[in-house]
Amino acid sequence: MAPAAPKSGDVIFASVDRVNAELFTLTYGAIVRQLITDLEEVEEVNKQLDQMGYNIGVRLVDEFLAKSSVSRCVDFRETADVIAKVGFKMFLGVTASVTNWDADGTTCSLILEDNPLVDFVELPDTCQGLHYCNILSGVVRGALEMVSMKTEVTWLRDMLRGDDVFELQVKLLKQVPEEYPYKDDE
Amino acid sequence: MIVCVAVVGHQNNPLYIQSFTKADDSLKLHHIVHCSLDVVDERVNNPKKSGLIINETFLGLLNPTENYKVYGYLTNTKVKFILVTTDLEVRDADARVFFGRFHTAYVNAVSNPFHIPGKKITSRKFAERVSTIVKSFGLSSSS
Amino acid sequence: MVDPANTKLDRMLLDQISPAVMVLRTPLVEDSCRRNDLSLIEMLAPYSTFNNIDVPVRTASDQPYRLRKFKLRLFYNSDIRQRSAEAAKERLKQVITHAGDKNISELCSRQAEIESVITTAAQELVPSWFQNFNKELIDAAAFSEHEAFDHPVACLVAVSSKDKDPIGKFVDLFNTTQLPHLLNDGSMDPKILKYYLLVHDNQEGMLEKATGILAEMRRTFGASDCRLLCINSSVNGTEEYQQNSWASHKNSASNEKQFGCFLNKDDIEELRNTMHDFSSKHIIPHMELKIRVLNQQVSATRKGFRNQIKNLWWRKGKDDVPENPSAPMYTFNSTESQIRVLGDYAFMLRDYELALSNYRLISTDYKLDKALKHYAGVQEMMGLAYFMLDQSRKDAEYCMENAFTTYAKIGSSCGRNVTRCGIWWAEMLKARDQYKDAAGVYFRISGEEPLNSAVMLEQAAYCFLMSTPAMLRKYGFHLVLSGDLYRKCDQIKHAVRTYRGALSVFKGTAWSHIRDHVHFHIGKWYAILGMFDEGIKHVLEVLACGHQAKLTQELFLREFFQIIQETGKTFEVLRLQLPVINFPSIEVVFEDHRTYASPAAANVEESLWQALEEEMTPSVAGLKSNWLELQSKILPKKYKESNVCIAGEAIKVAVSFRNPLQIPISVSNVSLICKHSTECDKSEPASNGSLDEEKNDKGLRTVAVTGETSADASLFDLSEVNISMQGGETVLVQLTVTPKVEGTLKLVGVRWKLSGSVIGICNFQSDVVRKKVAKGKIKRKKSLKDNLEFLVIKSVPRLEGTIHSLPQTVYTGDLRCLTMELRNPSKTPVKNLKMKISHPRFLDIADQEVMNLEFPTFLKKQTISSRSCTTLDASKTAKTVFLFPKDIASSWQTPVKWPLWFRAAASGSISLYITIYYETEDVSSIIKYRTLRIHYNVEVLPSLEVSYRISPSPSRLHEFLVRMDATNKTSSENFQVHQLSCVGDQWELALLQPIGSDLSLGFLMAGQSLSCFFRLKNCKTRGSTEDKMSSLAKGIADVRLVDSESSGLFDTSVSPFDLFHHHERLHQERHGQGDDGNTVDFILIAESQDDSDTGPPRTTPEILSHYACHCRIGSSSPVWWSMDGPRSVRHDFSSGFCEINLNMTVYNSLEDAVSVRINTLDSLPRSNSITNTASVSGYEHGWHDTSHLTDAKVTPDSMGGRVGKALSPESVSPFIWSGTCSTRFNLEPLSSAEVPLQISVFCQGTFDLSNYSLQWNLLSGDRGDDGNESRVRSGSCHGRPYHITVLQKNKAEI
Repeated sequence: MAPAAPKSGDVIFASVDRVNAELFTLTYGAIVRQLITDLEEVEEVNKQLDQMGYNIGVRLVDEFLAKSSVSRCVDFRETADVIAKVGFKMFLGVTASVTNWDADGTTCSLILEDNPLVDFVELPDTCQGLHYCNILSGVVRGALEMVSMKTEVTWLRDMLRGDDVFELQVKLLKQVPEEYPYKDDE
Repeated sequence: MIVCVAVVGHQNNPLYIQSFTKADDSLKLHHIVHCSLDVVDERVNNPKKSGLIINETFLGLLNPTENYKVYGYLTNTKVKFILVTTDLEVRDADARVFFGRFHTAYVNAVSNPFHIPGKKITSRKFAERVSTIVKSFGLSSSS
Repeated sequence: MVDPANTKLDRMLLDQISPAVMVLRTPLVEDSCRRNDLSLIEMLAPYSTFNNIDVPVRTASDQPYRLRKFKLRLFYNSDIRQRSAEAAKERLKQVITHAGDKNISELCSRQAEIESVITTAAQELVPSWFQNFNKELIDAAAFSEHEAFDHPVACLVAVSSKDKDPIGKFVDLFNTTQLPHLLNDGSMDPKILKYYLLVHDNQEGMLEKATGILAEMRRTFGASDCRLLCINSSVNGTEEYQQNSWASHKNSASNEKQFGCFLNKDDIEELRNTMHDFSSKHIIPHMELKIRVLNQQVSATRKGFRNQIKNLWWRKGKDDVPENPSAPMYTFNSTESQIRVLGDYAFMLRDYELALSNYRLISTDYKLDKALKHYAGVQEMMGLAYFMLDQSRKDAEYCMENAFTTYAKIGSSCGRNVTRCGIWWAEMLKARDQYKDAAGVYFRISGEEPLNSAVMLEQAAYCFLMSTPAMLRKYGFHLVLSGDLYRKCDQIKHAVRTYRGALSVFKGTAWSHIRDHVHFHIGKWYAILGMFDEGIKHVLEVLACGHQAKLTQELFLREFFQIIQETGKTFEVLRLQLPVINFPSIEVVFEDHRTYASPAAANVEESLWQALEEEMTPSVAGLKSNWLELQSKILPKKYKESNVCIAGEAIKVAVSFRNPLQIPISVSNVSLICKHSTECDKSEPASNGSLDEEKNDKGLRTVAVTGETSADASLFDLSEVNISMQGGETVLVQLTVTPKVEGTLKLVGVRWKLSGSVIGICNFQSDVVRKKVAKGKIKRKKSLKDNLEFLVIKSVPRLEGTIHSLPQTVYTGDLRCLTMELRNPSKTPVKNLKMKISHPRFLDIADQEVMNLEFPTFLKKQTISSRSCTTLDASKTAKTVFLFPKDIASSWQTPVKWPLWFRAAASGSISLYITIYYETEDVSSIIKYRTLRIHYNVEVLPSLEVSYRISPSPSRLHEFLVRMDATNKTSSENFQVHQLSCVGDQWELALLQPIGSDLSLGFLMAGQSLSCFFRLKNCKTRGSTEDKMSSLAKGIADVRLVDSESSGLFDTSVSPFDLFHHHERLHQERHGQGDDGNTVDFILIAESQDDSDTGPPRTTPEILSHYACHCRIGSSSPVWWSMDGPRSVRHDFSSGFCEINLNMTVYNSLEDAVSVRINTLDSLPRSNSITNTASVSGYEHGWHDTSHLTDAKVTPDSMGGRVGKALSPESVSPFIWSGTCSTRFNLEPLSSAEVPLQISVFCQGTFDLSNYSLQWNLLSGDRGDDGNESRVRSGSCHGRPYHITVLQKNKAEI
């Protein structure tokens, strides 16, 4: 079982070494801008961000599991909880809340009230349709894939588009059995 | 009451001009702001004459053009903030407070990754913040 | 510090504050002066100013000093009074208008740059008429009773010698004539110095008479005060003076020759002497005298302590007396006015200390008396005196300020004095380089009177400009202010002038709001002045004002069009900013030897096409990259660089316009500007409204609209487009030009008409475009200029081709028969056509007879006999260039149809490129061949996802289990899996369980998945090996997956199946690892169950064929074996262990003999099993979606691994291989052998007999080196699990 999630999240966050928030935010902003100038298509930028996030996620998950002594999650619900309470706290310093579970418990929404990525950010009219924080969705996707959950992560609400919160929908596509899938009988 | 606030870039190009009057006197205000730049230059170029301390960002009263009072503020990146008001007597303290807030608002606006330095400030957020700051002008240190 | 004695202010003071002389004369005097077109005063004026009258002067102080500059001001008695307001205003107005008319000329001159404005000296910058204006203003304030320097010092009485009784005239001139009120109302002393002048006109009358009169005068009036002045001595009025001294004094510009035309040298000499004598011998001494007298009185009454006290006390007493403002409160003999006179006289004689002391003395009195006007006047004079003494500028300024404010306090009555004081003050500051303060003063002067304020503001502006550092922004601002005022009192010329000055400030800056305003108004005013060209030039500047508010934009536009209408002409504007052309998006598409079937094809980049055409285009072309090089022998040299286009074929240019405004605009007659010239007359190109370079600099010219575009329609056609753009809209306009005759065509630019009134022109030869082309948007690395040069050659045939009914979106594996249609509109035929297709995997040539067979039924087996079974020949598929048969190519008036096979091989969006090469019949044309480029985009959706898994059958040799998993990936489509065929000679395929067991077999709903099992039999036997080719057809095994007998099987051995199978093999080769004999290719054919069969435009496919090539079959080793024996044995272990006989059949699938060795190993070390499992996991590739079992790779490690796993429950093996632990035997090619085996079991249980290994190696050492060293010569395999159960047999059964 995971330890009491929010507490441990804070503990870890306190323990990890930090970087200046402005520097972080500006760096990310610069990356996004550069992407926009390089590949003029907003859609392309979204893809690219997601890909980058994915690459981060597949590496990040190990550190996450190492630092936070989170044990196996029994089900997807718990996983989502751990991500929201521990993961986000640990890496972004904010905690998300998990809501909007669907009936069969494979889809939920992570609600972010505040998001250090988007301080000062304001989307110009030219790139509405840009998912500025798309890197986050990529991270979640990549991390979950490493723990053998194929997920589909989409933004439902975006403060940069005038919504009141950030809502990240995580949808479990397939749970890959982790044990070695081959029997040697026919 | 504050009539107009402006941000002027370090090449004296207008980055943001907002007038808070009902009347259509934007042209006049443009002129006033534009002229006040002369005074700013004058102050900056010979600080001792105008009693300007080094690294003092607040330039004080620039010039009382007809029935307006113009205050100036110069960031260390040579960006000027201009404040045009119709108040007869303005406490320097108020002006300082105003410019302090305005400066922070400006900093936030320019750290928006989509804002190109040296270009006009088109941020809505900034506009809102400025209007609130303008509304609260003078109320702060009146107590 | 400049010496105040030669500042501008000093000159002004000399003009304003100098002794005034009242002139009385008889009409006859005036008449005789009139001969010279001068009045008496005018005639005397030049000689009443002395730059160096060298006269010793002794005022109050005892030591004399010499007076240098001196001036007399002559006034007629009628003029000695204050001007009425109207008169004053009138004069000012006339000065200004006059000035405006004078500098109307430079309004059209070039606009000065601000840098130059700064550098230019103030003199030529500041308009010269300011002095006159200021002078007028000051004069307007003259002759007020509160200051004495305007009071006449002397009276000059002039009588003509022709007057009868001159003496009497002299007397009553003074007595009868109306004297100015200054003398009457007692504000000045009526006893005034008189000087009698007898004017004698030499034209009539004798000099003697005059002299007689003079003598009589001397007797009556005293000798000294009389003088005779002879004029008009020149016989004929033709005296010329190179510098006419009168012209400068008369500002009314009449013809200046006549001035003094009757005055000869002596006359002028006499004039000079007269005035000199008058001033030096009479006026100055008189003044000196008066000064001394007054000084004594003053010092007697006012100097000293007692006097001060008395004075104060006396004033106290005087306070309560009510003073009436009507009568002057100080008469001339009052002490105050005496002091004032004293001061003024001293001032005029330049004894400033004396003047100052007296002013000081009196100012306090005035102040105490609250005689503000007088007080102010005195303060004013003090200021000036301080300045002239050049001491304590602070005092000077303080006094001026004081005077100014006091005057202002008094109110409108002293308006003029305010102005005058201000002007003097400003001058004083200017003289001391305090320009900024001077500007401030000017600003304060500018009262409510608009005209004055305008001028004052303008002067203030110049002060800002001249201050250091120059305050340009304020300069601009004040110019704008004054301009507005000028406009208010319709001095438009001046308004324009000031605004132009302001413009020089705002031009470069980003303050567009102000700049637009300035530009706009200048334009408007120019239009009012009727200078429309200038006006339009300025209004154009503000046309593209996207940043402005919507209303403003409308205003600008409306004004603009209004001006245009007023001109009545149609203007052609270079680089009209409305709408904006964004150059990087200009695209030129033309067809030389390459022709495009669709615009989409034209957009495909050139390199792709060239790669496609490489094999087809004639090898003569050494380098195909630049086709023109090939033609260089034919072409004249100058055309080498220019592109080639064919007469009658359009050149398309795509230009994108952007509307910067928020309001809709209508743009009409958008067309290209082209220059066409035929080879014969290269000298004069038939130009079409194109702009020559010299026209470019003057960006504006009027044209006759009609006949402009249709100038030479004989040479080429232009397409005209009309667009109406919404606010901020961007429209991409397709323009075409179609040359009609040969020659050279040049695209110069684009022209359009803005809402029917203004023609905008934009040249392509602007650097913007060049840069962009250097980036390489259009064809090659040439500049756009060259790209816009076209060599027009005579027309050659041009094929048009289309592929009919090529679907936009298809499902993967969709197989169709399409027809391509080629048309040749021109009469001249074309020959040897070739075609190449970019993706043969998707699209390939079919045989022509397919056309008249109906698809797909002819592919069914039973129809095979009807058509010749064409097997695909390697040659055809190897080179993908398809040569059309000659007979077609030779002659065609009718379009040619040709069938194509289309198969959606992979999902995704595929773009197909097809080029058709053809040659023209006539050799004369420059172009030998052309290529038709066809481009299609097809969107392929995933339909069925099929995966196969083959595992060797445990029981039987030569047999494999095939598991096929098919998943319907579509959302809506239902598929009927029709048949599965495996390609290859040695295979037989059969369903594992008979068909019809369940009817739903092979029918796939959307999203459904299906898996079914087949038995794959390898029927390769000896004998069938030699003649493989012959036995190709028979070996193929097809399995029908539909139970309905009606639908026959498709023959997968014929085109198109084999065709695409070939491509698929080639394609999948890449990531399939090499092909030894042990791979199978499957073809799955499915049909779509579309109930929506109504309507020809059917998107749902008929047949889908899915290919899976190189599916590896069971064992990689060429040696197959199977073990058989009892599965379960009952044995009574009480009677010893149990021996079980097994039988192993070994088959050699190779063409060579091998020797096989069977090792049976009894115990397995634990360790290797673990390591093996590890390595096994390493071996597994990505987890595959549809098949839940993986292909069984019979690799040594994996086997070992499984052994380990199998063994894990038991600790030690409970059975042993009895008999020999290893058997060796040889196997002939393709033959099998039986090997007996035996095990001994010790206890009951179920055992896995997999712990044996099979080693084989080729015997053919001698003929082994036949080239294929690559193949494995030996190998070893572990045994496959074989479970045997041994049970305890109990006695009871026996």
